[in-house]
Amino acid sequence: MPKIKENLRQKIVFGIPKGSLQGNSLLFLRQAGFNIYVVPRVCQPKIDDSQINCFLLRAQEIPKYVSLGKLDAGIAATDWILEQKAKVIEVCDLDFAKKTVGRGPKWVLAVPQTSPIKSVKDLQGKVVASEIVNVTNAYLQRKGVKAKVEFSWGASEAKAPLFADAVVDITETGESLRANNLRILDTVLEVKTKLIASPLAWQNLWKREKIETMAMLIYGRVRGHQMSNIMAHTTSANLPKILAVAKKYDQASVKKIAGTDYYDISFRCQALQARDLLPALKMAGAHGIVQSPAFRLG
Amino acid sequence: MPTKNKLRLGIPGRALRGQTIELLQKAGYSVSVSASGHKITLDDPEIECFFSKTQELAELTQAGMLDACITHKARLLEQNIKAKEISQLNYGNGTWHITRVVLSAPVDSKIKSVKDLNGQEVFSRLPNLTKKFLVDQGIKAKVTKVGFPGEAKGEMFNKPLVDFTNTGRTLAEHNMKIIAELMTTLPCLVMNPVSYQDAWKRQKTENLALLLNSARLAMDMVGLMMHVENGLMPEVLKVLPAMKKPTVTQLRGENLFDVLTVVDRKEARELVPQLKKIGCTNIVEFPLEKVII
Repeated sequence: MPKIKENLRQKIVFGIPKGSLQGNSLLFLRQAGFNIYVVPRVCQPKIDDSQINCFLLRAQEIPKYVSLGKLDAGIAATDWILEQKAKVIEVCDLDFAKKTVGRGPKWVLAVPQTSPIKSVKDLQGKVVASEIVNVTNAYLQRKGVKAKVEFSWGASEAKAPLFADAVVDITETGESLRANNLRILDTVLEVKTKLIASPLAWQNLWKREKIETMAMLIYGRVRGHQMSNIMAHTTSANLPKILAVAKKYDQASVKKIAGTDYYDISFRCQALQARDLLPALKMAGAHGIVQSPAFRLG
Repeated sequence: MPTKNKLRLGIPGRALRGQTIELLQKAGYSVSVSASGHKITLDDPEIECFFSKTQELAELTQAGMLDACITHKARLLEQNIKAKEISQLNYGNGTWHITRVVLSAPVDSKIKSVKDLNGQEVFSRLPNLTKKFLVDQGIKAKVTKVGFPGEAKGEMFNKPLVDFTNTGRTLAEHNMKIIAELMTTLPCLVMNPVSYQDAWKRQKTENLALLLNSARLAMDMVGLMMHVENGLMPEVLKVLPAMKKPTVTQLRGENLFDVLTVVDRKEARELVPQLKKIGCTNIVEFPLEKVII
């Protein structure tokens, strides 16, 4: 009995990133069954789970607070975890970014279209503006290039060539780089969004279970977001060709339709893959092709 | 170097814009439109696209500046465009239905039928098609080309007008009533004839048409799953649409079957109560993303 009472008082403190990851973080938390009410200007949203306290915080700060144990868990991206050298437990990947689900953004090294700089090697002795100084320094060191990395508060796209020779900037669709006439030289870091936990909270069995349950529910929704069911009909003659196409994506289940020469085939793929898959299936002779959303937990 | 394995595609930037973007998204593309609203980018490095008016897109495709574009069937006829039609697409401006080209006249005008046009001046967004229509009808009238939007000019200058209509709402707003229909028109994915000879570009465009059409068809359909007792199977198979073979699986250790099929969304309204009445249980309706028949 005392244990239950203690559990009733237990809470985990959870950090939700404010800014670019906010929209998708709230979307998937809500889809996972947590009703969250965000009041404008108030940074402590209400959540309909009495065991969770949440805070909206800058994405840059969540890894630090999680590593210190001030937050028990939170959603953060690998760039700020690495930049702050935060010691955190990576519970699971959440494949979403600001605009897309399934493809992460990346930090790239870019120069103006007209710049004589052709590769990272040409940056020897030059100035690079970057929001992620530590990550950029580590990258340049890996490449054997000595350059001065200047901290940038943001709007780095605008800084080359007047304020720096090159910039390290984050891009998801490439739109902003194109708009500012920048040319990408190299990828510095591919970013993944993760659910992270504090090593301290991880020691506490109750907290650890609570965090793992949250992670499982959110992860399932993010994965489900990307998954589709594919069903198709085929004659026995085309079946091997169609199975060869399907094999690249998933194990297909095949059923013979009684009293006919037809087979029914079904499998799952990532929603994004359907763009290449459907024409390939059609060409292999499938018909009655149906793609529907797949829901998946865990 | 930039043209190798790249499809240059024109996207309607005005009337068909909203529906085209939505359909591209449903087809599986992530579409980003710049803050100014003038620039469109797809998350497919093999497609280079931009917005423009359908009449300009048709010309650019004919001239080979574009490999392919989505334009209106009526524009192809009006401008006598030489292009390879890959597929018609089933949507309109602000709606998912067919667009009509109609002759209308102000409500209080003397013009009540096509015959009354003799000796009159007709405003038209599609002058060539209008002239041909009048000749076919044996009418002598002057045709004046007008730009978008035509409805306001028909009302302002009290003239009969040939223009596109989807719901008829804009015409009604300008006190214009429809007198005759010249044609129906749909968006059309067309290719430049030289680009069409390029096997890679043709395949790329045909795949795009397949994805757009399958996403459009899925909007009008739903999936149905249900459990059916063995004895009820013949009756259930009789009411399920014949053209789509339902998938039937026997449930392990039971005298029950799991039946799965796709049906027209409107049909489902009538079908579900009927299936329930027959005795099907656990009937689930689920959304579809793409359907290729």
